[in-house]
Amino acid sequence: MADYGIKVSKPGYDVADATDEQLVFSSKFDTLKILMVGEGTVPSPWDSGEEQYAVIDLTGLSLGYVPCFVVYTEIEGGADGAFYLAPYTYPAGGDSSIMPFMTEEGLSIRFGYQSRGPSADYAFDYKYIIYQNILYQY
Amino acid sequence: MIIFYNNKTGAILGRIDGRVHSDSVTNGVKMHYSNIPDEDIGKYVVPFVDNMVEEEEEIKELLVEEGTNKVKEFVTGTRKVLKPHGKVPDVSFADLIYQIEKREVRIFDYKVVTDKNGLVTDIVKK
Repeated sequence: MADYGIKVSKPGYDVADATDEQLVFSSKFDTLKILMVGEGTVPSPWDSGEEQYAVIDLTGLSLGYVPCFVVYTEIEGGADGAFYLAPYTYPAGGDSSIMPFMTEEGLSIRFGYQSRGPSADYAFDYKYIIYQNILYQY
Repeated sequence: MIIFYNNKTGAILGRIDGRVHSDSVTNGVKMHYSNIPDEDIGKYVVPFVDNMVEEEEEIKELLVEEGTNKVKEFVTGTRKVLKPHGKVPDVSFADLIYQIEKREVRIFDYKVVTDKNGLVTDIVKK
């Protein structure tokens, strides 16, 4: 490592001369760095018959690249409070998929028009993590 | 913490975690929903302020050491000073903000209350 940065060794190893394998963390590792964490909710689109989008608009950040991300979401037929890693497609077919996608302008999450919950007022909660790491740069 | 809400109904639509955000996040990040017009989506940045805690601090002075000509630093007493220890929410509903941060409650079970000027005054159970 250069003469700056931080590293943490495993128990029993001197951090000053530990190898990478003897470290639990080093700032030179290309680990995921969090830009933003949050959550949102979307009413079940089933009644409206139209797909719905939730968008985390990042245009104000002028990122200039597409950041890495993950989205977890509640799903049709899933237990309340159970979150599935998106994208999700209902195995029986139909437009009940939940598809997140990222551009440099932001994160969009598309809820297919047949997504429905157990009750008329059901809403799908979703949680997102957007990283500073570059997924794609034009 | 930044909360996005429907300013017609008060329903909370989403949030960004965190107590301190860069200006670009605070001012630049928005949320859109295909079933809600953009002008109906409000944004509330929960105010956080320094948590000032009183601590005892040594008073140090440069004095001439007795019997010598050397100037040394001596502890001549102590004093109480206020020092920042993290941030705390500067709102009347701070306890709820802590619960939301700890995921002890589902934020979407609550709604935002605003005054006639559209300023957020409370967050209450739906």
